[in-house]
Amino acid sequence: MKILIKLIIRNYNGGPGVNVHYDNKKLFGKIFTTAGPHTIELWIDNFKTPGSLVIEMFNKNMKYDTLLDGKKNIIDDKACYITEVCFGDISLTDELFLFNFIRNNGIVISNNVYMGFNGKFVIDINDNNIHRWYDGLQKYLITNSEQYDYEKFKTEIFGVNKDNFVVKY
Amino acid sequence: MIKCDVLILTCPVIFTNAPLQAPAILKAVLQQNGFTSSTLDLNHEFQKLATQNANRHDLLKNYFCFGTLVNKEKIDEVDYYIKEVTELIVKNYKTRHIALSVFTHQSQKFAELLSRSLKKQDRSRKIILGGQGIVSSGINGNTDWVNGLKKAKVIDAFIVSEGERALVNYLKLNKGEGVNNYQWRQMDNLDDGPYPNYDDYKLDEYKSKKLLITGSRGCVRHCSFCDIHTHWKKFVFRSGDEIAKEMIVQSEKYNIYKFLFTDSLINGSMKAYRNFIKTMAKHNNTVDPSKQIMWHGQFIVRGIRQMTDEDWSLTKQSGGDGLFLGVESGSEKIRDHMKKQFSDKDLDEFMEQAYKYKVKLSFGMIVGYPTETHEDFLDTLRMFKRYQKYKEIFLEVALGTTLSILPGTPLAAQFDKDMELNNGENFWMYYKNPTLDFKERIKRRMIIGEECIKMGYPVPNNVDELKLLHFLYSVYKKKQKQILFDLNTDNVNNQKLS
Repeated sequence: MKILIKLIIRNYNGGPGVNVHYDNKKLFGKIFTTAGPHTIELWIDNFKTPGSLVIEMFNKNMKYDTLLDGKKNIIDDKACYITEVCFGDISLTDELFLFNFIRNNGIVISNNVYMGFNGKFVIDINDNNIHRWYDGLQKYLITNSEQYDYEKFKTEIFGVNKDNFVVKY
Repeated sequence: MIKCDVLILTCPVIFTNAPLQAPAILKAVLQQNGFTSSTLDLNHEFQKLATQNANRHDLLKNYFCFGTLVNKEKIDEVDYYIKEVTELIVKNYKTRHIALSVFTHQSQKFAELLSRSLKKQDRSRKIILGGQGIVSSGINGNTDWVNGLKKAKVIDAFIVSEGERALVNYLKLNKGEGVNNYQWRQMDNLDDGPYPNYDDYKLDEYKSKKLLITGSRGCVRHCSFCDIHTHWKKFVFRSGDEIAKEMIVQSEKYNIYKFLFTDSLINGSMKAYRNFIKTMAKHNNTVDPSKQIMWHGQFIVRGIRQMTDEDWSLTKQSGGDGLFLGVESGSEKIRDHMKKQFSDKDLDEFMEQAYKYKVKLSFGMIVGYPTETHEDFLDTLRMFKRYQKYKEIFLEVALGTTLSILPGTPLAAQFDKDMELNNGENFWMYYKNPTLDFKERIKRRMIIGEECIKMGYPVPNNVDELKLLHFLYSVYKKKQKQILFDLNTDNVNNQKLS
């Protein structure tokens, strides 16, 4: 199975280190010193699911590796975004937001693809059929829509005062 | 089992009950080039579902168009429908190539699900997507979706435009201009192609008893909100006689006497238009009244007396019944900004003449143009009051879902620095007119809808458009990204107005 991981690196004070594991087996490890997009291309023989792909960030010192301005806004950082992960013909982009990033201190950050701390981004494939697992992820992204009611909608837009709707021409 | 080189499918959801033209054109062209093909209008099958099982139709429509469901648990219904369609194809057709016509981005979801299902069923089968719907966000917009499917090997090829030439090149050479690339070339001559072949369509099943016809591609105007010129660089048109001939031949062959032009405008070339109405009027005056041809389509308002009395009379006699005018606003100032190139006086004269000759009309409107003030909006209401005396010739007032700003339009380029898109084409904010936010535009859209109905104008799509606005407003409130683009293009009549 071919695995692609697309990252965007921010390289303040050197750059972040990234390790990749699949089911506790280390597949990749590197310190990225160049800012911008990078692609990690991996191959796993006898790829089996269920299994977990772990993208780990290391080499960040929280004291020195983030540049702040006087108002404590982040100006630059040692960090990386995960923009896409592909398992063969399956590409995860928006779906990545469904997985958690676990900081080394155990704090879990969800709905996030920006690794700004040392920790692990875990993609858990919990099905023995990867395509069925992917279908399940897509279904999870579906949002329920609100029922339409014109009068309710009108009140929402104009407020409760009916005079707001009067127009002279 | 039908054996053919290519099976050509349409993809729902397209909001029409008319037989779609693209597969019929491709079938005729493939036949001319020695290939066998069959067509299957899946959009029609989907529209039939509306009467057979309205709840199921609504659920599937919402999911295919917007990716939303009122109840998430019902997602299995979508899988089941795709499975049904796949089985229908596999049981009835033996073919190596399946071409899916994707008319607007609202057909993308269905096209993707069906492509995946067909590919899963037989990986050796070649899947080709084509049509302007394969790009999102306007006709020259984002290509990520189709590129992603190609990369993931869900499809084997895509064709952006001028499919008549590109599909043949793909079948013969596996490559060509516009095949898996965006370097397609606009055809200069539209007169040489064969007439659309509807032989596989069950035409008597369609609610809308009309055929589509194309007399031109491109436009002679450069309206600020329209992206047509980024796609069709030139205005290319057929001769009036040739258009009339196609109508006569096709009406006799299929026993259908009503035609809808797919053109951005029918009267782009007055010379061709005059030839067309003259030939059609002559035909209509010599045949049995039951076989007289009628036609409708988009039309532009030209200057005073550019349409003579004879033109109006021949328009009526030729069967002109339903000129769709992109009036957009009742404010001359706003129309000038849009580059519509007609004044209030021009429009007044046009309306007078149309009423005199009883030529039916529809108005396409844009509510909430970036420079529109409250007074401009009132001018639009005043215009409808002024034309209330002509309301019997109105077929429709199409109010739309407020202006969406598309990439590639002059408007997007002009306001680049003074405008924030705000996560969606419909959610834009123009800093020089800050009170006109999306909520204010919805207000105006609601008011004009109610006022037009009070004045007695037909506004047949009012509820559907407001439903769509309601959906968009829920996205806007949550500060989510709008994934729904060119809102008007789901309607064949209005497709070029976005």
